[in-house]
Amino acid sequence: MNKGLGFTMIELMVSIAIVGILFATAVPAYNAYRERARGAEATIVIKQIMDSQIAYFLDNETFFPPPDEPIEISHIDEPDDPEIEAVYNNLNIRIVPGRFLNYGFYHALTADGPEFTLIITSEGGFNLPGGSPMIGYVLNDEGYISDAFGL
Amino acid sequence: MKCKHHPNREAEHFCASCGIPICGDCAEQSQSGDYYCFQCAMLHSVSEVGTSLVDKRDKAGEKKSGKKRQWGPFQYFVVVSAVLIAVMWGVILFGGEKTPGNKIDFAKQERVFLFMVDSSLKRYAQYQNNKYPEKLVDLVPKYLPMRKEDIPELGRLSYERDPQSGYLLSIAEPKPGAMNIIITPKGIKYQSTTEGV
Repeated sequence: MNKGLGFTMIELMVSIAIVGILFATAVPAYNAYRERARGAEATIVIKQIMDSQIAYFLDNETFFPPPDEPIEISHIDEPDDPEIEAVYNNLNIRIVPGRFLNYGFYHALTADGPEFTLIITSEGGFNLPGGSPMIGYVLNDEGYISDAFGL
Repeated sequence: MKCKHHPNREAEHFCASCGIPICGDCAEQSQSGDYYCFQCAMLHSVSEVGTSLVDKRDKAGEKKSGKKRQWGPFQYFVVVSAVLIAVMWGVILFGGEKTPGNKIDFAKQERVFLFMVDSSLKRYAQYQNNKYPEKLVDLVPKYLPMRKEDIPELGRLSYERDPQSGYLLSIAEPKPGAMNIIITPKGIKYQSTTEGV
Protein backbone atom coordinates (compact mmCIF):
# COMPACT_ATOMS: atom_id res chain seq x y z
CA MET A 1 0.00 0.00 0.00
CA ASN A 2 1.29 3.44 -0.84
CA LYS A 3 1.29 5.32 2.43
CA GLY A 4 -0.52 8.62 2.12
CA LEU A 5 -1.36 8.12 -1.55
CA GLY A 6 -4.42 5.83 -1.28
CA PHE A 7 -4.63 2.47 -2.99
CA THR A 8 -3.01 1.18 -6.13
CA MET A 9 -5.09 -0.04 -9.04
CA ILE A 10 -4.21 -3.66 -8.25
CA GLU A 11 -5.31 -3.28 -4.64
CA LEU A 12 -8.59 -1.73 -5.72
CA MET A 13 -9.21 -4.51 -8.22
CA VAL A 14 -8.47 -7.17 -5.63
CA SER A 15 -10.72 -5.44 -3.08
CA ILE A 16 -13.60 -5.28 -5.56
CA ALA A 17 -13.06 -8.93 -6.44
CA ILE A 18 -13.14 -9.90 -2.76
CA VAL A 19 -16.34 -7.96 -2.19
CA GLY A 20 -17.87 -9.74 -5.20
CA ILE A 21 -16.85 -13.14 -3.91
CA LEU A 22 -18.23 -12.28 -0.47
CA PHE A 23 -21.58 -11.39 -2.03
CA ALA A 24 -21.52 -14.56 -4.12
CA THR A 25 -20.86 -16.53 -0.93
CA ALA A 26 -23.53 -14.73 1.03
CA VAL A 27 -26.35 -15.72 -1.34
CA PRO A 28 -26.03 -19.52 -0.96
CA ALA A 29 -25.27 -19.04 2.74
CA TYR A 30 -28.54 -17.12 3.10
CA ASN A 31 -30.41 -19.77 1.11
CA ALA A 32 -29.01 -22.50 3.35
CA TYR A 33 -30.06 -20.52 6.41
CA ARG A 34 -33.56 -19.98 4.99
CA GLU A 35 -33.85 -23.67 4.18
CA ARG A 36 -32.96 -24.63 7.72
CA ALA A 37 -35.48 -22.11 9.05
CA ARG A 38 -38.24 -23.55 6.88
CA GLY A 39 -37.27 -27.06 7.92
CA ALA A 40 -37.53 -25.98 11.56
CA GLU A 41 -40.94 -24.43 10.87
CA ALA A 42 -42.08 -27.68 9.26
CA THR A 43 -40.92 -29.63 12.31
CA ILE A 44 -43.06 -27.46 14.59
CA VAL A 45 -46.12 -27.74 12.34
CA ILE A 46 -45.77 -31.52 12.09
CA LYS A 47 -45.54 -31.84 15.87
CA GLN A 48 -48.60 -29.61 16.33
CA ILE A 49 -50.65 -31.60 13.84
CA MET A 50 -49.68 -34.94 15.37
CA ASP A 51 -50.41 -33.74 18.91
CA SER A 52 -53.79 -32.37 17.82
CA GLN A 53 -54.55 -35.56 15.96
CA ILE A 54 -53.86 -37.64 19.08
CA ALA A 55 -56.12 -35.34 21.11
CA TYR A 56 -58.82 -35.63 18.43
CA PHE A 57 -58.53 -39.42 18.46
CA LEU A 58 -58.87 -39.55 22.25
CA ASP A 59 -62.05 -37.47 22.02
CA ASN A 60 -63.63 -39.07 18.98
CA GLU A 61 -62.02 -42.53 18.70
CA THR A 62 -61.24 -41.82 15.09
CA PHE A 63 -58.86 -39.66 13.14
CA PHE A 64 -59.58 -36.53 11.21
CA PRO A 65 -60.44 -36.30 8.30
CA PRO A 66 -63.02 -39.03 7.62
CA PRO A 67 -61.45 -42.10 5.98
CA ASP A 68 -62.96 -41.42 2.59
CA GLU A 69 -62.23 -37.69 2.42
CA PRO A 70 -58.54 -36.84 2.37
CA ILE A 71 -57.59 -33.19 2.69
CA GLU A 72 -55.00 -31.49 0.54
CA ILE A 73 -53.86 -27.98 1.45
CA SER A 74 -51.60 -26.31 -1.04
CA HIS A 75 -49.46 -23.27 -0.41
CA ILE A 76 -51.44 -21.42 -3.10
CA ASP A 77 -54.80 -22.01 -1.43
CA GLU A 78 -56.76 -19.04 -0.17
CA PRO A 79 -56.65 -18.43 3.61
CA ASP A 80 -60.43 -19.00 3.81
CA ASP A 81 -60.27 -22.31 1.92
CA PRO A 82 -62.94 -24.73 3.28
CA GLU A 83 -60.31 -27.40 3.93
CA ILE A 84 -58.23 -25.00 6.03
CA GLU A 85 -61.40 -24.16 7.97
CA ALA A 86 -62.17 -27.87 8.42
CA VAL A 87 -58.69 -28.50 9.86
CA TYR A 88 -59.07 -25.51 12.16
CA ASN A 89 -62.53 -26.58 13.36
CA ASN A 90 -61.47 -30.16 14.08
CA LEU A 91 -57.78 -30.03 15.02
CA ASN A 92 -57.71 -26.43 16.25
CA ILE A 93 -54.72 -25.64 14.02
CA ARG A 94 -54.78 -22.67 11.71
CA ILE A 95 -52.69 -23.63 8.71
CA VAL A 96 -51.35 -20.54 6.99
CA PRO A 97 -51.02 -21.08 3.24
CA GLY A 98 -48.22 -19.44 1.34
CA ARG A 99 -45.55 -20.66 3.77
CA PHE A 100 -43.85 -22.89 1.18
CA LEU A 101 -45.40 -26.06 2.57
CA ASN A 102 -48.13 -28.32 1.17
CA TYR A 103 -50.09 -30.65 3.43
CA GLY A 104 -51.89 -33.90 2.78
CA PHE A 105 -54.14 -35.39 5.49
CA TYR A 106 -55.02 -39.03 4.89
CA HIS A 107 -57.02 -41.26 7.16
CA ALA A 108 -56.90 -44.87 5.98
CA LEU A 109 -58.63 -47.94 7.33
CA THR A 110 -56.15 -50.79 7.28
CA ALA A 111 -56.08 -54.36 8.47
CA ASP A 112 -54.13 -53.15 11.52
CA GLY A 113 -56.67 -50.46 12.35
CA PRO A 114 -57.09 -46.82 11.41
CA GLU A 115 -54.02 -44.87 10.43
CA PHE A 116 -53.47 -41.19 9.93
CA THR A 117 -50.83 -40.24 7.38
CA LEU A 118 -49.49 -36.74 7.09
CA ILE A 119 -47.73 -35.82 3.86
CA ILE A 120 -45.68 -32.62 3.84
CA THR A 121 -44.13 -31.29 0.65
CA SER A 122 -41.84 -28.31 0.40
CA GLU A 123 -42.51 -25.87 -2.39
CA GLY A 124 -39.17 -25.08 -4.02
CA GLY A 125 -37.47 -28.37 -3.29
CA PHE A 126 -35.78 -27.55 0.00
CA ASN A 127 -35.17 -30.40 2.38
CA LEU A 128 -37.57 -31.07 5.23
CA PRO A 129 -36.58 -32.67 8.57
CA GLY A 130 -36.22 -36.14 7.06
CA GLY A 131 -33.65 -34.81 4.60
CA SER A 132 -36.08 -34.86 1.67
CA PRO A 133 -38.44 -32.31 0.06
CA MET A 134 -41.39 -34.71 0.53
CA ILE A 135 -41.94 -36.61 3.74
CA GLY A 136 -44.68 -38.69 5.32
CA TYR A 137 -45.46 -39.59 8.91
CA VAL A 138 -47.90 -42.27 10.02
CA LEU A 139 -49.82 -42.18 13.29
CA ASN A 140 -51.67 -45.34 14.31
CA ASP A 141 -54.46 -45.85 16.82
CA GLU A 142 -51.95 -46.77 19.52
CA GLY A 143 -50.36 -43.33 19.33
CA TYR A 144 -47.22 -44.53 17.58
CA ILE A 145 -45.73 -42.02 15.16
CA SER A 146 -43.46 -43.53 12.53
CA ASP A 147 -40.13 -42.13 11.44
CA ALA A 148 -40.22 -39.77 8.51
CA PHE A 149 -40.51 -41.53 5.17
CA GLY A 150 -38.87 -39.25 2.65
CA LEU A 151 -38.63 -39.59 -1.10
CA MET B 1 63.32 -15.61 -23.26
CA LYS B 2 62.19 -12.57 -25.14
CA CYS B 3 58.91 -10.70 -24.89
CA LYS B 4 56.42 -11.75 -27.55
CA HIS B 5 55.70 -8.14 -28.49
CA HIS B 6 59.17 -6.71 -27.89
CA PRO B 7 61.79 -9.05 -29.32
CA ASN B 8 64.62 -6.90 -27.95
CA ARG B 9 63.37 -7.15 -24.36
CA GLU B 10 63.63 -10.00 -21.91
CA ALA B 11 60.35 -11.57 -20.81
CA GLU B 12 59.55 -11.04 -17.16
CA HIS B 13 56.16 -12.82 -16.89
CA PHE B 14 53.98 -15.33 -18.64
CA CYS B 15 50.38 -14.41 -19.43
CA ALA B 16 48.13 -16.23 -16.94
CA SER B 17 45.59 -16.75 -19.70
CA CYS B 18 47.34 -17.52 -23.01
CA GLY B 19 50.81 -18.33 -21.58
CA ILE B 20 52.88 -16.11 -23.87
CA PRO B 21 56.06 -14.50 -22.47
CA ILE B 22 55.65 -10.79 -21.82
CA CYS B 23 57.94 -8.02 -20.65
CA GLY B 24 57.18 -5.67 -17.77
CA ASP B 25 55.63 -3.05 -20.05
CA CYS B 26 53.30 -5.56 -21.67
CA ALA B 27 52.22 -7.20 -18.42
CA GLU B 28 48.97 -6.10 -16.81
CA GLN B 29 48.46 -7.21 -13.24
CA SER B 30 44.98 -8.17 -12.17
CA GLN B 31 43.41 -7.59 -8.72
CA SER B 32 44.22 -11.17 -7.82
CA GLY B 33 47.91 -10.60 -8.60
CA ASP B 34 48.11 -12.56 -11.87
CA TYR B 35 49.82 -11.10 -14.97
CA TYR B 36 48.10 -10.97 -18.33
CA CYS B 37 49.16 -9.83 -21.78
CA PHE B 38 47.36 -6.78 -23.17
CA GLN B 39 44.80 -8.74 -25.18
CA CYS B 40 43.99 -11.17 -22.37
CA ALA B 41 43.91 -8.31 -19.88
CA MET B 42 41.31 -6.58 -22.08
CA LEU B 43 39.25 -9.74 -22.32
CA HIS B 44 39.64 -10.34 -18.60
CA SER B 45 38.51 -6.82 -17.78
CA VAL B 46 35.49 -7.17 -20.10
CA SER B 47 34.65 -10.41 -18.36
CA GLU B 48 35.01 -8.77 -14.97
CA VAL B 49 32.79 -5.90 -16.09
CA GLY B 50 30.26 -8.41 -17.35
CA THR B 51 30.41 -10.27 -14.10
CA SER B 52 29.95 -7.11 -12.14
CA LEU B 53 26.97 -6.15 -14.31
CA VAL B 54 25.39 -9.54 -13.70
CA ASP B 55 26.08 -9.16 -10.00
CA LYS B 56 24.49 -5.74 -9.98
CA ARG B 57 21.45 -7.06 -11.84
CA ASP B 58 21.11 -9.98 -9.42
CA LYS B 59 21.40 -7.68 -6.47
CA ALA B 60 18.81 -5.34 -7.98
CA GLY B 61 16.54 -8.31 -8.56
CA GLU B 62 16.92 -9.49 -5.00
CA LYS B 63 16.17 -6.02 -3.76
CA LYS B 64 13.07 -5.83 -5.92
CA SER B 65 11.77 -9.26 -4.95
CA GLY B 66 12.61 -8.51 -1.34
CA LYS B 67 10.39 -5.47 -1.57
CA LYS B 68 7.54 -7.58 -2.95
CA ARG B 69 7.73 -9.99 -0.08
CA GLN B 70 7.16 -7.20 2.41
CA TRP B 71 3.57 -7.83 3.50
CA GLY B 72 1.38 -4.97 4.60
CA PRO B 73 -2.14 -4.81 6.01
CA PHE B 74 -3.65 -5.13 2.55
CA GLN B 75 -1.89 -8.43 1.85
CA TYR B 76 -2.99 -9.81 5.22
CA PHE B 77 -6.54 -8.65 4.51
CA VAL B 78 -6.54 -10.49 1.20
CA VAL B 79 -5.24 -13.72 2.72
CA VAL B 80 -7.63 -13.62 5.69
CA SER B 81 -10.56 -12.87 3.34
CA ALA B 82 -9.60 -15.80 1.13
CA VAL B 83 -9.48 -18.13 4.12
CA LEU B 84 -12.85 -16.87 5.37
CA ILE B 85 -14.47 -17.33 1.97
CA ALA B 86 -13.05 -20.84 1.71
CA VAL B 87 -14.42 -21.71 5.15
CA MET B 88 -17.87 -20.28 4.29
CA TRP B 89 -18.03 -22.28 1.10
CA GLY B 90 -16.97 -25.37 3.02
CA VAL B 91 -19.84 -24.86 5.45
CA ILE B 92 -22.32 -24.26 2.63
CA LEU B 93 -21.26 -27.24 0.56
CA PHE B 94 -20.49 -29.79 3.26
CA GLY B 95 -22.40 -28.58 6.30
CA GLY B 96 -26.08 -28.81 7.15
CA GLU B 97 -28.54 -31.62 6.72
CA LYS B 98 -27.56 -34.29 4.23
CA THR B 99 -29.99 -36.01 1.95
CA PRO B 100 -30.21 -39.64 3.03
CA GLY B 101 -28.21 -41.71 0.61
CA ASN B 102 -29.56 -45.08 1.66
CA LYS B 103 -32.13 -46.97 -0.35
CA ILE B 104 -35.72 -46.15 0.51
CA ASP B 105 -37.86 -49.14 1.49
CA PHE B 106 -40.88 -48.55 -0.72
CA ALA B 107 -42.30 -52.03 -0.03
CA LYS B 108 -42.56 -51.26 3.68
CA GLN B 109 -44.04 -47.79 3.13
CA GLU B 110 -46.25 -48.56 0.14
CA ARG B 111 -49.32 -46.85 1.56
CA VAL B 112 -47.44 -43.67 2.47
CA PHE B 113 -46.00 -43.67 -1.04
CA LEU B 114 -49.53 -44.00 -2.44
CA PHE B 115 -50.65 -40.94 -0.49
CA MET B 116 -47.57 -39.01 -1.56
CA VAL B 117 -48.36 -39.66 -5.22
CA ASP B 118 -52.00 -38.71 -4.66
CA SER B 119 -50.91 -35.47 -3.00
CA SER B 120 -48.70 -34.77 -6.01
CA LEU B 121 -51.56 -35.51 -8.42
CA LYS B 122 -53.78 -32.99 -6.67
CA ARG B 123 -51.13 -30.29 -6.83
CA TYR B 124 -50.54 -31.12 -10.50
CA ALA B 125 -54.23 -30.58 -11.17
CA GLN B 126 -54.16 -27.33 -9.24
CA TYR B 127 -51.41 -25.97 -11.47
CA GLN B 128 -52.63 -27.56 -14.76
CA ASN B 129 -56.26 -26.38 -14.86
CA ASN B 130 -57.68 -29.51 -13.23
CA LYS B 131 -56.04 -31.82 -15.72
CA TYR B 132 -54.30 -34.99 -14.67
CA PRO B 133 -51.07 -36.43 -16.07
CA GLU B 134 -51.13 -39.24 -18.58
CA LYS B 135 -48.53 -41.19 -16.62
CA LEU B 136 -47.30 -40.93 -13.07
CA VAL B 137 -43.76 -40.30 -14.27
CA ASP B 138 -44.98 -36.93 -15.59
CA LEU B 139 -45.20 -35.79 -11.97
CA VAL B 140 -41.45 -36.17 -11.51
CA PRO B 141 -39.67 -34.06 -10.40
CA LYS B 142 -41.72 -30.86 -10.06
CA TYR B 143 -44.69 -32.34 -8.20
CA LEU B 144 -43.13 -35.60 -7.00
CA PRO B 145 -39.50 -35.08 -5.95
CA MET B 146 -38.19 -38.59 -6.57
CA ARG B 147 -34.64 -39.61 -7.28
CA LYS B 148 -34.07 -40.93 -10.78
CA GLU B 149 -33.11 -44.37 -9.55
CA ASP B 150 -36.41 -44.62 -7.60
CA ILE B 151 -38.69 -43.81 -10.56
CA PRO B 152 -39.29 -47.54 -11.39
CA GLU B 153 -40.92 -47.78 -7.93
CA LEU B 154 -43.91 -45.95 -9.45
CA GLY B 155 -44.76 -49.37 -10.94
CA ARG B 156 -45.95 -50.36 -7.47
CA LEU B 157 -48.98 -48.16 -8.06
CA SER B 158 -51.83 -48.55 -10.49
CA TYR B 159 -52.89 -45.30 -12.12
CA GLU B 160 -55.34 -44.51 -14.85
CA ARG B 161 -57.23 -41.43 -15.91
CA ASP B 162 -60.96 -41.82 -15.52
CA PRO B 163 -63.35 -39.63 -17.52
CA GLN B 164 -65.92 -39.61 -14.72
CA SER B 165 -63.94 -39.19 -11.53
CA GLY B 166 -60.66 -37.83 -12.93
CA TYR B 167 -58.29 -40.65 -12.01
CA LEU B 168 -58.05 -43.92 -10.13
CA LEU B 169 -54.97 -44.53 -8.05
CA SER B 170 -54.27 -47.62 -6.00
CA ILE B 171 -51.56 -50.06 -4.99
CA ALA B 172 -50.96 -52.38 -7.95
CA GLU B 173 -50.49 -55.53 -5.89
CA PRO B 174 -52.13 -55.10 -2.49
CA LYS B 175 -51.28 -57.50 0.28
CA PRO B 176 -53.71 -60.44 0.43
CA GLY B 177 -56.49 -59.94 2.93
CA ALA B 178 -55.98 -56.18 3.21
CA MET B 179 -58.54 -53.69 1.97
CA ASN B 180 -57.34 -52.06 -1.20
CA ILE B 181 -57.42 -48.29 -1.14
CA ILE B 182 -58.54 -46.68 -4.37
CA ILE B 183 -58.07 -42.93 -4.43
CA THR B 184 -59.98 -40.62 -6.72
CA PRO B 185 -60.11 -36.81 -6.68
CA LYS B 186 -63.44 -37.09 -4.90
CA GLY B 187 -62.24 -39.32 -2.10
CA ILE B 188 -61.08 -42.77 -1.07
CA LYS B 189 -62.88 -46.01 -1.85
CA TYR B 190 -62.13 -49.29 -0.16
CA GLN B 191 -62.30 -52.58 -1.91
CA SER B 192 -61.65 -56.10 -0.69
CA THR B 193 -58.58 -57.57 -2.35
CA THR B 194 -60.43 -60.85 -2.89
CA GLU B 195 -62.82 -59.05 -5.23
CA GLY B 196 -60.02 -57.59 -7.34
CA VAL B 197 -59.44 -53.97 -8.24
